[in-house]
Amino acid sequence: MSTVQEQLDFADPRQFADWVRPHLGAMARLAARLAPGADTEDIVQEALVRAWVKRRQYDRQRGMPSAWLLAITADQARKARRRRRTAIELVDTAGPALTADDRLDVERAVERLPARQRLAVDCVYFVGLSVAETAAVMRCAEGTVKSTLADARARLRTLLEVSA
Amino acid sequence: MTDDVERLLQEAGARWRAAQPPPPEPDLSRLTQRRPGWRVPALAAASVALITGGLVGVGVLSTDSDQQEEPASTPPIFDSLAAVTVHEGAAVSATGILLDQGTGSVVLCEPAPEPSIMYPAGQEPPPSCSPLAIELAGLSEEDIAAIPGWTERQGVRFTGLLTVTGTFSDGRLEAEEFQEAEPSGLTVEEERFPLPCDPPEGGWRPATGDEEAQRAALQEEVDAHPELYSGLWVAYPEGDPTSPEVIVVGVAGNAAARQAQLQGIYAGNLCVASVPYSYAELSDVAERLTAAHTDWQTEIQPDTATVVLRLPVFTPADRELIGDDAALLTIEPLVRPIASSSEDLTADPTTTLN
Repeated sequence: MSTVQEQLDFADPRQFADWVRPHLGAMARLAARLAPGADTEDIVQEALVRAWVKRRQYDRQRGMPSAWLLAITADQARKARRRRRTAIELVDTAGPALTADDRLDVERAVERLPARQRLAVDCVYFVGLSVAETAAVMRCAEGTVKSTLADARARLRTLLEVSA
Repeated sequence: MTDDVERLLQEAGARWRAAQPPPPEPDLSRLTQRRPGWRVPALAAASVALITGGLVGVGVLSTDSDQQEEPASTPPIFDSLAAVTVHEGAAVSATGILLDQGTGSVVLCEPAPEPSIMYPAGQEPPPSCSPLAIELAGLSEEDIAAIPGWTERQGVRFTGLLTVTGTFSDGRLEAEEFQEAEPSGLTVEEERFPLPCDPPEGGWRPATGDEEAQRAALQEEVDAHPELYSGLWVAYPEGDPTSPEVIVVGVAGNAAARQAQLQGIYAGNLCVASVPYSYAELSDVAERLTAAHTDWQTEIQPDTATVVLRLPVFTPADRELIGDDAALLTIEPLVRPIASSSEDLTADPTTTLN
C-alpha cells in the first residue's frame, strides 16, 4: 500500500495538455506499433480522453506519468486492433516461411515473433520505451520484459540465420 | 549473431521512428466533449453543468459489454478506495439496464444471468436485476417516457445497457443524463493470470501429455492447504493458449520454501510465486463481507490474491465497515463517483488498494 496518494488535479484541460505533451510522441508510436493501419491520432486522442477522465486516479508515487499514459494508450490500441482483427491480428509462426529477400529485413522477422515477444520488441526497439515503461504496457515485471527480450533476440537469430 | 540482432533491431527501430509523423496535439475540445447521448428534457440544465465540467461517464459493470470492462483499462495499481467512494450529493455514473417497476419507479441494475438458449428467438424471458441495483430518482413519467430504447416483453419494460449520470442522494441516483453504453473489444484475460516467473534455461517446454494427472495432484495439494496457498492458475508465456502453458501456484509467504515440494508433485512448467494472502485469509474476508450485506457479492481471485467486492454503491459508511479488510479488496461498485471529493483527495494513507 502506498502513502498519501499524489494525484493530478488539473481543472483546466490546457494544463493537462501541457502535462501530457512530452509523452505524445511515445504514445503515438506505441499506437502505431500496436494497431498498424488503425487511426493513430484517434487512438492517442481517445487515450487522452480516458486519461483526462481518470486523472484523479493517477498516483504519481506508484508509477511514472509516461507508464500510466502508455498503459492507457496500449488499451486503446488493443481495442482499435480488435476492430481491425482480420487485417492485423498478431500471429505466432503461422506466416509464410522467410525467403532470402527477408534475410536482413528485421521488421518482417519481428512480425513472425510470438505476440508477447513482438510486443516487447516493439516497445523497446521501435517505440523507444524504457524497460520500466514496457513493463507497464505489458503488465508484467521488468525482469519478465528483459527475459522476453532475450527470448525474442534468440528467436530472431534463428529466423534470420535460417533464411540466410 | 546475437549482437548483430541487437544492432539490427536498434537500426530498424531508429529508421522506423524517423519515418513517423509528428504526434498529434491534444484535442482540447474532445477532452471536454461528451459523446452523443440524450438527456431527460426537464433535467437538461443540470446536464449542461456536467458537460462544461469536462466529465465523461464511465461504465462499471462486470459482464460482457465494453463499458463494463472499462475499469480494467486503467492499471489496477492506480485504483484506490478514494476513487470509488461515493459521498452524499456526489456526481456519479453507473452503467446497466433500466427496468421499469411499473409503479413509477425505475431501477438501474446489472442484469441477472439467465439462460436463454432454451427459448425460441424473441421469446426469451425478460431480464431481471441482480443485487447490483440502484433506484433512479427525480424522474417524472414524461422523463421516463423520453428515454429512448424501451422494449417490452411479457409485460416487463426494460432498456439495453445505458450509462446514467447524475447525483447520488439518499441511496438513490438522481438521473440527469442517459447515454448508450458503447461496445469494446478489451478482454479481461489480458489483465489477469500473470506469469511472475522468468522462463527456465532453455525456455518453457511444450506439453508432453503426462501433465494431467500431476496437475490434479497439484490441485489437491493446493486445495488441501488453503492456509498456505492463494490457489493456482494457468498462464501462457506467449499470450497464446496454443503455446506452452505454465501452472502458477500462489504461495502466501516464502515461495522458495515450497518450490522443491511442488516440483516433486508437478514436473511440467511450474511457477511458484509469492502472494500476500492465502485463500483462507481471502475466504474469511469474503465471508465477513457477504454476511454484512446481502446485496454484496464477492469473488476470490487467486492470481491477484484479492477479493473482488461488487456492490451497488460504496459509501463512506461502507469504507468504515470494511476497515482493515480494505487491503485485500478490489472494489467494483455499480455506481461510481465521476470525480473524487476533496475529502478523498486527502484520504488517509492506508486507503490505497493494491
